[in-house]
Amino acid sequence: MIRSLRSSYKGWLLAGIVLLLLIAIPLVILFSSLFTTPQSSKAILEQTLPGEAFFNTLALCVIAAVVSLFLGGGTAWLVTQYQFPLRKFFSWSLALPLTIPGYILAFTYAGIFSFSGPLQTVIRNQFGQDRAQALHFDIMNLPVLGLLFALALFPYVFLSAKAAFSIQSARQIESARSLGKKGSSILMKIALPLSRPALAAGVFLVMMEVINDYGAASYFGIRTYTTALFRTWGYDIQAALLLAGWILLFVFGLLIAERLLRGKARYQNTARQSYVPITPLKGFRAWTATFLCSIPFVFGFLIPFSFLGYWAMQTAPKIMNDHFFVLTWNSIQLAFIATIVIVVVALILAYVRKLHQSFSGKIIAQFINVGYAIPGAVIAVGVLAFSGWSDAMIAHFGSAKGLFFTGSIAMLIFAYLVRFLAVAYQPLEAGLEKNHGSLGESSRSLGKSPLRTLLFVELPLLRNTVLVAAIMVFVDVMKELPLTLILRPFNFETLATETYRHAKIMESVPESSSAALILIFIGAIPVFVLSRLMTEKHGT
Amino acid sequence: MGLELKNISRSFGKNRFALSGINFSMQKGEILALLGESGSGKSTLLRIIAGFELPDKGSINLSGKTICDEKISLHPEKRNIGLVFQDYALFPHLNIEKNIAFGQKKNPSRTTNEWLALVGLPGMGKRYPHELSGGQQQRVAIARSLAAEPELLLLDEPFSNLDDSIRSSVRGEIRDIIRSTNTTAVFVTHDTRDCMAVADKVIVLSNGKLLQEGDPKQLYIQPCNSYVARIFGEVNIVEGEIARQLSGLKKFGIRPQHIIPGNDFSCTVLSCRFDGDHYDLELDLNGSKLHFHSDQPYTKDEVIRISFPKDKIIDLSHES
Repeated sequence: MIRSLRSSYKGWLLAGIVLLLLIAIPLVILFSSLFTTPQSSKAILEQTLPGEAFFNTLALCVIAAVVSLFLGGGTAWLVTQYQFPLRKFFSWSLALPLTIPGYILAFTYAGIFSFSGPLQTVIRNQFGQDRAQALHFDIMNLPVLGLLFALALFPYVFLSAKAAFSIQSARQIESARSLGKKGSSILMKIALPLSRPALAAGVFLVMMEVINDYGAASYFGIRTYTTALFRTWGYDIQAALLLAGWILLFVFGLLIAERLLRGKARYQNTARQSYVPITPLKGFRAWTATFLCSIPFVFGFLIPFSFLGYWAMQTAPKIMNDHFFVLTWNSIQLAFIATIVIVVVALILAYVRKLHQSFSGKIIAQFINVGYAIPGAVIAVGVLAFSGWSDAMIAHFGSAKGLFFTGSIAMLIFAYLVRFLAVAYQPLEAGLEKNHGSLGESSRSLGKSPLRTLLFVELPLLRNTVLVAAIMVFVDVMKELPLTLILRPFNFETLATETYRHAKIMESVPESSSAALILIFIGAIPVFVLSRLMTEKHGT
Repeated sequence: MGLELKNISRSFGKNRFALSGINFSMQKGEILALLGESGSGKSTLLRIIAGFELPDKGSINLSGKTICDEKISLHPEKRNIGLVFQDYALFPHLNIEKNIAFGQKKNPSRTTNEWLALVGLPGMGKRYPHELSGGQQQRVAIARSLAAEPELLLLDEPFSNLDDSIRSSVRGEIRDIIRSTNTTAVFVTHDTRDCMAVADKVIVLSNGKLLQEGDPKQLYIQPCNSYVARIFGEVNIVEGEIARQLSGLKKFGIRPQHIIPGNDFSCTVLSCRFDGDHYDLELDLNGSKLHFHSDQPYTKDEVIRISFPKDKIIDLSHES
């Protein structure tokens, strides 16, 4: 211990600890609310929290998880093992549904199936009012919402399963084949067990996104933990804090379950990168594979994207006004500033971790990564309590009175930091780790301080990683709805809140389409940049 | 005064010592080799001197200044010690010139071009590290460290990544480069040939302990124990009654090439194998097996007579 302290870079260490403590404050507030909430607030919560919230949340999680496991895992297996028409196209385009946020997918399908929607309009014009009424079916229910979540989120499973199938278990699959096993038994006996950690990670992300959702569930009128949190927050902040604390426990429960499911199995990539030679399929079987892969692509991307495009063309003249440009500019500015803050903080923390290998770095990394699992609304409530407390402190000790932090852009960005730090931290930590240790040490033995080493040696080598991290954070901030809804300054709209406002409050899905499309296009950037970087890497 | 280490110890957990009580000193301009097998602690010692690891106990002085003791420890970048890594660690995003200029101080004694000329790479400044061969990269790495004008240069296994064919010439080149700048240097190796060719002084480490220090010739001729004797080359170890009969010592060592044909002892040839420069004979001397390097072949079961020159006998009687 003394040895470590003597050698430590105290400035860096201090910066790291201060940043971590700051990020931990909202979470600490939430945890302490589990024990300190007054009885009156508990009574309010009993009224605002519907009994079915727990069941609904869990049911949505399970439906979305199971369906996306089949959609993502199945298509990943086909794409990595077999040759069939359009295989190359599907191997990247099945990631595209991820560009449509769950709430936008839900609004879109609700719009398609609504009475005034295109489907009903066509039937009414062709077969008359009665037929249309008879053929109208209500999709605004829990199982459909679960399915929609799966359609929006299955790429998480697809991407991690694809990586696992094509790289990690390549050698084992080959040896199983040489031992005379056939496709299906390889999948069940080799590929699935070996890919369990990757699949579990993908499914876990799906469930986290489901819990995080506010827009879709509130639009469908399904009462979940998160929608209950919004309602409660309207009544009593203490009660909301308590509920947020419970959700936090729920999420931690899932987190632990995922770790247990992954077990000790940390199947490492023993072989060097190698790809399984793919088996060509012929005739009927080949087209069946194409058909199966097209289902999630068509329903998860093509249909909603087409309708949004159609609506956007219809409504753009009405929507594209000064207000729209202002809020687009708001969104971009906000996401840009948040991205810079988050990437810089993540870089500092990752570098502190590299400088102080011995300093419980693992725990720090774990702690940061947990942040991404916590729903945005929960973080928002924690940050809200923190800013309220800070304002009270200023009012108490300072002469000025008022709301300095509450409802400020600074607090909004701070909340994004808590929520999305892991998105930037993970690639940066991995990137710094990949920069060979001797490079940094060389620079320091040549007389350069850690800061100069970071700026002149580590960072130039990390250019691509920083870019990737920044793009991912930028997109996530742009799309984030519940957190932004709670913490944004008064009358401050972003593309995400505008989409929600048009769809839910003004009840016009078509009018939300322009903002939604911009979000989708921005969300598509990482899909293309990442696949571009991947191919570059394989090229050299 | 050059470098001085006092009682440097470093443990990995209880009773597991990576290094225990290492003491040595060296003069300015000397080249010292830390010799040992893997796990002997030699690389840990090098990293402790560089400042990337810390000792539990002990102190290090460089040019009369304490750079590390139980209370303070200068960060690596404050020590003015250059470290050349085994993988050279050239910065891949900088060209050769910028690599060399990276650590240069204001008003350097040599320009980057002069450094390039010194290490035999004139005109290569605009190239990038990946365009150079392994040997060239190494010379750039050394030039880069020397260009920062360190008081001490450390080299981690400088010869282990090189092909055998160029190894011996590289040894000479590197020694000459270091000499020409009059830099004090410490290098780590597991190969005694590196020590012989480059070092003024050798320190033998085993299991974190310093076994012996001295110039390479001294270690070869008078190793302090059979371990040191063995790492410096093949040696016959003889002990017990037979040892007393042969030399009057309880235990001694003699190298195969030091045994000469003579009249003192007669023995039987067990096997004879051609080994390139000589014939390697296995002999039976009153039940004790000896290796003997001979210029001429013998047949199995032939009886020959040999002698042990007195000055070539390594006294190991303290070990028995």
